[in-house]
Amino acid sequence: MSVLLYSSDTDEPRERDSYLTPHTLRSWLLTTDHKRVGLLYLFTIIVFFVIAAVAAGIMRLNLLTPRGDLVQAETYNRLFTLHGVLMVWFFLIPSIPSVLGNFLLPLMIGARDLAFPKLNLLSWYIFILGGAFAFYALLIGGVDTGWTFYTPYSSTYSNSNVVLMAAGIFIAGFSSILTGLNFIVSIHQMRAPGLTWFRLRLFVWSMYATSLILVLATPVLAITLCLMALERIWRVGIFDPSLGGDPLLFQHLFWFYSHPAVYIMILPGMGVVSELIAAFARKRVFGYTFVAFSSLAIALIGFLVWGHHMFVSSQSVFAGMIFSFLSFLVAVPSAIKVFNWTATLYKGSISLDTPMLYALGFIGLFTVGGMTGLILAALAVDVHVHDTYFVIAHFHYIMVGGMVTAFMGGLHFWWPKITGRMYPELLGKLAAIIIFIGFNLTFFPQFVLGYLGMPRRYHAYPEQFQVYNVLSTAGASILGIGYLLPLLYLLWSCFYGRRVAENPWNALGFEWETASPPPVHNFEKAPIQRDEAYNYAEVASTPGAGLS
Amino acid sequence: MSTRAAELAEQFEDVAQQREASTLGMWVFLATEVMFFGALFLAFSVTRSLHVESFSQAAKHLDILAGTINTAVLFTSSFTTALAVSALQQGQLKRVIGLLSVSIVLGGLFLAIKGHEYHEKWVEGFFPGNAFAVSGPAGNEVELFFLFYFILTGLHGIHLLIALGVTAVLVWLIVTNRVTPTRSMPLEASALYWHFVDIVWVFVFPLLYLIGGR
Amino acid sequence: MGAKTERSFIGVYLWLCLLLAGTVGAAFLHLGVINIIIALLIAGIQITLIAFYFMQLRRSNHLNWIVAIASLLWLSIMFALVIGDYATRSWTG
Repeated sequence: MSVLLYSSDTDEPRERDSYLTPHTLRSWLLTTDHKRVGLLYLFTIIVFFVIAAVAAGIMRLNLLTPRGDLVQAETYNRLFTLHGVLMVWFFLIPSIPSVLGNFLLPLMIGARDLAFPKLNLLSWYIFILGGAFAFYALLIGGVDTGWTFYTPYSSTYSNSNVVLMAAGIFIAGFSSILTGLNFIVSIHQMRAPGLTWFRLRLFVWSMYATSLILVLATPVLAITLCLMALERIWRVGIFDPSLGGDPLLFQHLFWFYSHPAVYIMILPGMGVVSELIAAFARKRVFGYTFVAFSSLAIALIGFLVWGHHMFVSSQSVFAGMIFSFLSFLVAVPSAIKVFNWTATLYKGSISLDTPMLYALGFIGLFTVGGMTGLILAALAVDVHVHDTYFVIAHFHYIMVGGMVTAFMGGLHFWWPKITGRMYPELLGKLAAIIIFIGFNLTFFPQFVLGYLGMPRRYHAYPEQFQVYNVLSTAGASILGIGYLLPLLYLLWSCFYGRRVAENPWNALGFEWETASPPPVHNFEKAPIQRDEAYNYAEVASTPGAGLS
Repeated sequence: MSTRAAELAEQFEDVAQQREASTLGMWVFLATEVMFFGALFLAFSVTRSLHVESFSQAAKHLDILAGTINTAVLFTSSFTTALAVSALQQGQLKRVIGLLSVSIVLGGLFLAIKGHEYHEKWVEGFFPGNAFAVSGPAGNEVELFFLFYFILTGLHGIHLLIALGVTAVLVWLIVTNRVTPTRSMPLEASALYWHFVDIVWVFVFPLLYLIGGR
Repeated sequence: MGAKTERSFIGVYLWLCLLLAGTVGAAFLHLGVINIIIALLIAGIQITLIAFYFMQLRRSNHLNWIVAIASLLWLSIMFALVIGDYATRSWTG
């Protein structure tokens, strides 16, 4: 059971001045406070999430019947492209880094703000601009190439709004780059006294590793989209074989970014899970150093595996073998993390609050996703399941079962810090369970479908696949309800939730040593790190220590 | 001398931290630019390896004199920019403004020469698109070369233009005492950017103009 | 900073121009693949000079060195694995 602590001078926490206090629109739109920028990102990505989720809903409804007669094939293509583009670039990639990372990073390192606060605000405006382009492209008909924009279809044959959408993604990429740059410099230069690298929170380590990827991979995407767009505009053939080009060059350049991008879409989640496990097992994360180095290892090795998306594209077999081997290798640091989280749970003092439910869900679902990744990394097996629902199930287990679950867990854990109010715990647990059930019902049948041979991105399918599709769609409806609940009760809690004091979870960390919500400059007095992170054992043996 | 001396931004503890953060930030940004242009160089290298002969032939249409002069112009501008940073740190404000102005003029000269080259290529029909001078499969390959020519030099030119603009703003900031010997970070950071634009050209020039022989 | 640094700038500038003459001159010699190697080598020396001296990397915090080297390293990874694919396309079995 979590224990709520109250400030010593009052019985009940009450409203006081905080970073939320100025209420004007102008104060929000011109803010350089990292906490507000984090919230600006939160509001924005929720909008994109809802649009992309509705698209998925329509797709799943269409797939209830084998003939796929809800929408036309053309429309279906535009729907899955919309879903992929928005979910990847306008929801997942910014999700934890730009929301929780922005809010928590300076707090966790004991700083007043990030290194470049104005650049932070600029990154949000750039994100909005990119989003506006993408949104406009959708309004006037969308794109039908898939989020992967493979050439020469995207550069020559497609009749949809490719250049406009590419422009939106190109612009949004700069937002990623600036965020990553800000995080790297902040973590290097602005840590509190006593906060050495190996005393950093594991969330900070994961933000650092993510930022490395953001900074080194995103520029390659920028130039790739640029070349594809120019090919389309000027009708040249860098990627078009009939004009002297090579479509595989596009795929190499695209996946050089997009594979590390998927690590952008899991590393932050892993960072959150480390925090949740430590807090709700009241135990220092087992093998802290291994977990920290694993984050870096995933970021580094993640740059070496992109060819596993191209096993059947006529890439050289030799290259395929190298990429396959490296893809097996990248699973190792991820597995190390799972083992360490599990070891942390062992003999921990576990409380099953909502954030912990999400963390535990993450461990299970991510493990399934990760192991099916290994299956896909095996060259011979991939020939059979490439471009089938097996792949779709794999990456949804990681991105939704993993990352989105972690995001929900983190959102609930830090909600009282962000808003000063607690969400309704019973509803929280209920939603977490509904999400878990809905998710598995949606995506597990898809493993079977893929293995049996149902291709992805098809609006219709052979009769014999219907039962699995119906199960999947049923799951999707449950999943939808699961995500709707937090949207409603979190909003409700902003106005009617119980107010909390500094440390409602009795957790360890700089962010829990300041008010909920924090003052504008984060801390009344600059914090000093005096011992290791997650010092729960020390605290437990010293009565009254570590509690505010 | 104005009292607007070392301005410490509120998120930093001291000026040294601010300076280090600013420098590190610019180097990290340059790393992203390395990957940006690098990917373009990779695309060029791969495409060239598929059409070595056509690319070598096409490259002979480029004006090597203009390219060489432009390289020397950029080197000189880097020289004057480096001197400007040194001059600011020694407090020689007039010299700083003079040197930066020379950098701007040289940058403008580069763009003018480039513009002249572009015009020539346009007139000769070597701009990619429907009106390309050479047709057929061989023509496609030549067109690919020129696509890369225009993208590589074009993106480089855009970056140079930005550097020019930033340097002009810096001259104004120095004249109005907002950038001073004790608050020199904006100049140092933008000088790094200027040198980087030079570095990109150091690779663009031989890859486009020289490789393939004359 | 001062006169000594500025003298080194003059030296670097002269070397850059000399190397430029060298690389342009070499382009008129027909040495096949060696042409590319010479051009890239000279370019490599030139950017090292610019980075170390003009960009003050030599006197800078070693963290900035790591950033510069890391970017080149990542670029090499990208080149190596992509060209590796193209180079081994014709290998069978």
